[in-house]
Amino acid sequence: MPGDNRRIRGPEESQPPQLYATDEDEVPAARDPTRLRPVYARAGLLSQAKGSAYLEAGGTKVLCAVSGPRQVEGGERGGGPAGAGGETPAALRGRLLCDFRRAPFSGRRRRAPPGGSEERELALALQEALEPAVRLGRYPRAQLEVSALLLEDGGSALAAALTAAAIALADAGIEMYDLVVGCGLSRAPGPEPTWLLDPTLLEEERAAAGLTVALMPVLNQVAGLLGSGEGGPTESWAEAVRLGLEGCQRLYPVLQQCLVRAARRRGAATPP
Amino acid sequence: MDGRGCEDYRCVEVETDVVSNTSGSARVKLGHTDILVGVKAEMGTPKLEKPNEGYLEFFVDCSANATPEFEGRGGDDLGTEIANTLYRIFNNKSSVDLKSLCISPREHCWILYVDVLLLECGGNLFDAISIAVKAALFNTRIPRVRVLEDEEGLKDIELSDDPYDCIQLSVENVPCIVTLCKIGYRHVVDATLQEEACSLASLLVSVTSKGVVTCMRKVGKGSLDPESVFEMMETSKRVGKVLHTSLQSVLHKEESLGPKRQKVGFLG
Repeated sequence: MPGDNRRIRGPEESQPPQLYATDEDEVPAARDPTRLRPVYARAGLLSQAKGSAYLEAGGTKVLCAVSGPRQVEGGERGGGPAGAGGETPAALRGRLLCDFRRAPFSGRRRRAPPGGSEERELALALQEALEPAVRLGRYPRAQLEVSALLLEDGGSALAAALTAAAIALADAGIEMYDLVVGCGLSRAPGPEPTWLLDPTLLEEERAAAGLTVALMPVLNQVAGLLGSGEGGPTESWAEAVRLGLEGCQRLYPVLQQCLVRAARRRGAATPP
Repeated sequence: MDGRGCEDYRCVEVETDVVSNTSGSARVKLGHTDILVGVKAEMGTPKLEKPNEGYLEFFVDCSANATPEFEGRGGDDLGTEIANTLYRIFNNKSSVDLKSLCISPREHCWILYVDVLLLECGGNLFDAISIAVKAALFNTRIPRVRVLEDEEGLKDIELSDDPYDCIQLSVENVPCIVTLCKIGYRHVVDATLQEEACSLASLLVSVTSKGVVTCMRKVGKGSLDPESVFEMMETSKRVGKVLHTSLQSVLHKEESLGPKRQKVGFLG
């Protein structure tokens, strides 16, 4: 978006000093490919949002807020991908609007706030992964807004945002079929392709391919899948998907506990 | 619905070199889906992180002629989604040899602007677009340039005089997208608009002729069973190989006909 007057964009041409640094090849430390970083999750921390969640996994910090359901003018058919016609009319189904933003200081280089196509792509990925889990049929003519803000990118940012968004939706009391748990994977370059679960930023940057899987643990259904990079054959990708699904299952108890704690806190805060 | 098997494509018509002002172009008709791709090669500065390589820029325009939903700005969202998917599938070292697009490191390189136009929307957009992009890249002719250096160190770019002296890109490893729509318990390749309306979720896999997968994405409002995900990946590999071999043979055959071939153009 040219001419964004609300924010201070900084000079047009500026580079970080790291570009001119002598090339020190930091090799990521060898580690167990199936280890998940310890996760801290907390729900119900923003007072102004209907539901909110904060998730920290290693160096990745994501804050997610949900607002709604808000009534939306019916009859407007969003120009979605071809094939949107033929289902129940769009006016009767609720809508989920997702927004994914990166803080300008979240990565190695400063990114000016209107992030552009990458953020829109990730927002679309968020929407596609959360839609199967939310009972949108129970919110006719309404709109749910989910906005995820990435405070620091420490690897597998999309997976963390997915998980945080699901917790925030549950915290807001939105009817859902199941939680959505996200997990990131990356494949190190080299002759033997090993897929690493929950990569750090360094591993992700050096990776030949990356994949994010979103799973609904109780129903055991894949809610979202987004991966790209130098492939291996399909068997390698199939192995990665299996590893990712396993990782999601392992993460689920942590999220359950987080929601229980948030419910208790809310129960204790409102006096009977 | 139209008597095809689950893994059969509709009849595909591919024609290259339809637009004369471009460096390369292709038109693909897949059933009722009509796509036109034009590639223009222009000189520019390479990106800071990759000073020895050229790059590709994608732009997708959903014209209002395609379906009434695309009137005004309705088609923009779909256009950005398709463009982002194209960036993803080309975002690796082996799809296109970017080093061959470099003229002089850090200063000049070739930028290929790939512009996709959706003329008519009849289902299965991603597959048709990827076929058209591959055909257009195959048809692209980039003029040969030489960098001459003066005694003072001033560089001058010289374009060769012969208009047929060009570099051709190798499209061996350019991937094609195979979209598998899940309908009921089975999955279907190359869905028409009506079939897409019945399907809740689809898996988009971009696969090269050697069976290497470069991108995988789930599209749609529904969820997929993990077992069906694995089945779909296997199917996409099989179908992708067949698609690539037939596309390569058609492109080579068309090129071998040379300038004497009959151009069908837009009225055929």
